[in-house]
Amino acid sequence: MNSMNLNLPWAALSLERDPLELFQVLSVGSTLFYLLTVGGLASLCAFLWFLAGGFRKVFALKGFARLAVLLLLALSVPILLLDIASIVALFRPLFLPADAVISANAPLVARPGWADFPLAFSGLAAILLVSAPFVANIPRLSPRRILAIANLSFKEAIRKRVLYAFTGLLLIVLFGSWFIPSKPTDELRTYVSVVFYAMTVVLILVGALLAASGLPADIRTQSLFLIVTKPVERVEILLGRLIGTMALMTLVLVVLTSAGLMYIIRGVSPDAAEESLKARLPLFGFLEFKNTSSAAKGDNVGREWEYRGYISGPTQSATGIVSPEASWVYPTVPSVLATRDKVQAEFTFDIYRTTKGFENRGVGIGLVITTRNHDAEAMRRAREKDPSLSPEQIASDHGYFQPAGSVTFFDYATGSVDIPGALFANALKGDPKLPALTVRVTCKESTQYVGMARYDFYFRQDDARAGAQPVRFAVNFFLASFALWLRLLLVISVTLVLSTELSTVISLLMGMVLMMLAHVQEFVRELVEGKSAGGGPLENIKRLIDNSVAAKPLEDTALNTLIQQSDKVVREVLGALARFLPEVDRLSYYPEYVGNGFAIGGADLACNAILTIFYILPWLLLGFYLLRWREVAGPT
Amino acid sequence: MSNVKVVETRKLTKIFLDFWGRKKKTALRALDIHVDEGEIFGLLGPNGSGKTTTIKLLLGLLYPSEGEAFVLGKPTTDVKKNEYIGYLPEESYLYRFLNAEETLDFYGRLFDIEPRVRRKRAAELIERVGLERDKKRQLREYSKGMRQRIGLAQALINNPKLVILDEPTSGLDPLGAYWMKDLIRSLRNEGKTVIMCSHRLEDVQDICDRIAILHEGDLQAYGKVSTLLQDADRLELRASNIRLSDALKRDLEAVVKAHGGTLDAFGHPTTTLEDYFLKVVAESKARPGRRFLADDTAVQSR
Ligand SMILES: Nc1ncnc2c1ncn2[C@@H]1O[C@H](COP(=O)(O)OP(=O)(O)OP(=O)(O)O)[C@@H](O)[C@H]1O
Ligand SMILES: [Mg+2]
Repeated sequence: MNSMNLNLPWAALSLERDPLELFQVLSVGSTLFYLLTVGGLASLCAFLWFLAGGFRKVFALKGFARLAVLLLLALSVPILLLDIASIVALFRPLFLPADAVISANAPLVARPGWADFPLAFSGLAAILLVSAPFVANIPRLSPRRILAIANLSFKEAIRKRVLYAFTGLLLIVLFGSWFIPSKPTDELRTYVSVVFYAMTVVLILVGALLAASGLPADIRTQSLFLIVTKPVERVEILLGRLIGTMALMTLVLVVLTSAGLMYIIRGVSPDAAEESLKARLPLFGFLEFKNTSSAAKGDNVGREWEYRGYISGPTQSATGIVSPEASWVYPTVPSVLATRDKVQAEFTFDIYRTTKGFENRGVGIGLVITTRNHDAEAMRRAREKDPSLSPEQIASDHGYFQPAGSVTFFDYATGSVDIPGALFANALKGDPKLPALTVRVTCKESTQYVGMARYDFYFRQDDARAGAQPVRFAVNFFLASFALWLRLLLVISVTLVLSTELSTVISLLMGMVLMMLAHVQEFVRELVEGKSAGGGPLENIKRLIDNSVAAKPLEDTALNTLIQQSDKVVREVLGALARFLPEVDRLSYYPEYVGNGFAIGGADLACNAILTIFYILPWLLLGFYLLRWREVAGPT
Repeated sequence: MSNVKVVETRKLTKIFLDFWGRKKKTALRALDIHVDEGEIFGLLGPNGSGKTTTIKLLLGLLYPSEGEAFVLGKPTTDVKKNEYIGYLPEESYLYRFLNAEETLDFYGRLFDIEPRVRRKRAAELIERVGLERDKKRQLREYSKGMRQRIGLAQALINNPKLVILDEPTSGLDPLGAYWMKDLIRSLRNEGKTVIMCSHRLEDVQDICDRIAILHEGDLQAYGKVSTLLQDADRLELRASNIRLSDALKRDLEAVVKAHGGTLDAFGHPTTTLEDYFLKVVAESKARPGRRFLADDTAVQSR
């Protein structure tokens, strides 16, 4: 009997980044990073304002208020000095040797680790200082006014027939799969990715357009004159518009998501439903490699973005034959698994062939699972005594499981194997300091490499036998849609804030460029580190003028050296700016979970929500000031 | 009329700058005026003289380049003063996708007025400006005069102490202008202060207590209308139930001469076109169906 079941080519999840955990987002490190970055900006703005005439206002204050402002100003001096030092440091490539390497992630100003604490405190003071006027304004805000403006921008969009823009989208949602040829195996995956792709593009464009056009149009038609001559706090206009636009987008999103869901649940083929219409709850371990060039990464076969590490088949070495091995370590296992008769493990590996011509042949792999109570010697003796011991008994008594027969694995297919629940019962016992469970995988063929990443192997915490689970799938679908909602919130807030000062076209463009840059953050970092081909911008201009080929290095003249050094400064500046980009990449990944039938992690999503909100807050504060200072009837 | 100063400007100056901070236009130069509680104050001047600029400065829509202004005792940038101000701007400014009711409701909400009070006031105002029949129509369908009416209604939604009207009669037909002037007078009777600007001098003369005349951003004249317009060297005389005759002329000449003056002119008065227009419209309303036939230049009944 072969317990390996290899006819399930559906689920495959390749996570480019680890899901976030709350303790990471709320950790000391990320708090410090936030305070340093935002506090740095805040102190810079505060001091520029102070020099540009703000000091008169500060000294016009009375008593405690003046004292508090002066104290906070004094406290933000250290972070201001760090700012200035960082700005100066941007130009250091001009003075470094030409071949010095720049790192995008290293801090611009080197400092001992403990120094970040007082600096972050100083940053906090700067943040308090710049947000004080806003906080002081909060008691004056009236929900009724904010909602009146929200209601107005909602009505405006409806009456200007913006909803028509979404009818095309509804067609895609309802009839998309008629036009997308796909095998039943890919049916859900394709449908979900097409629908989410279309929704993302259209909703973000329309949302940004609505956000960018509202205020400038109000100023152009002078409608804003009437609003600001009512007892309306300026920031109420911003918040009202934000809420109104988001309300409309939320409505559209809910309608589209529900329509899509209904379509899926009724229209998907039974085969696809059986496999993908669910939300797997995977239990991941920690991946380690043994007998490879690196314990953390395995062997590098120079393929892809090093997402996976690779193990080869058995190799001859000085000490005899060694077998490279990948192992997933589970420090603990949930007790619910111990109550099951069978627990399903699933895996998706990548095959890297060193020999051609066997593309459709599988690769044999070895799989062994042991618990912390496993004693090989005791098991060997027990087996000798009674050769008819069942796998369940071995699992239960000796904490050991190995599938019977050989295991063949096909490229990018999801394999599964049933494991006795008794193994988990065994894993729950014993010394809690030892890892509860270890899964070991080896490659049996010497001419092949098998690539694996942390998320390539998991146990199903949900019941694999439950068949289609439309409710769990629906919840999952809505969670992905919530991630899209977060992205909308991000784009709309940023564009709206830009539009308090800039025209519709400019704020729309800037908002979109920001989002695009955020998406290609990795690439921007590569640019900064000089990994990408070709020279920097100045070098390329020089080449254009000289009409010289990019492959040829520049001649070694003083001018060219200066150009290349200046390009490094440009890269440094880019790198500094890249720190202020939002993490939208993380938010774009959720439809992948849904399409492949994996449950979206609640903690991961909550972390992203927190990150998004903390990213937006400084923007809203900027909007507060821009709108407050804006001379509404002044020259545009 | 009390002596509480509702508006006070001190050396109020507005210089428009271009993008590079260069001086483009001095729209208002060192204006020093005040407006007392309960009066109708008129801002006069030719196009581009700085009337609208003054109003925008008072409302905090523009920030002064120099000097300062106080409205209801507060600096112009203080949002709280807006509780007591009603403003009717010069140009199209209302949301055209709202209808009259929604418009008033929206602005009422901006004053944080209770829904019940809001609805009651909106209904009253719609009646007061005569838009009951059209209250469910979107403003995009409104004529200029109708928009001016709903604009006035929104300016009164908070029962303001100070009403600022920028060209309230522009775009209105003479009947509408007459109605508007009547309404402005009734605002004064309710104890409100009104600041209005206009270049329709007859309107201003009719209703304003005091005026300021601006030209090219400079204050040219400022004071009570009755004082400014009084011509102390000339005398006017009116009499009823009497016909023009040579004897009358001789007698009058003699009387004027005996008192050391000269008789310049006298005769039957002509009415103003406004009065005449109002009379014609009133007659037409009283007798519908009457119309003017061009061929025999006579007014006939059909
Ligand atoms: N936003 C602006 N930018 C530049 N110049 C302006 C601006 N607003 C007004 N001005 C200038 O200021 C001057 C005064 O304009 P204002 O609108 O106050 O005149 P006004 O007396 O209201 O004229 P009107 O009778 O035509 O309404 C004009 O010369 C105008 O060109
Ligand atoms: Mg004007």
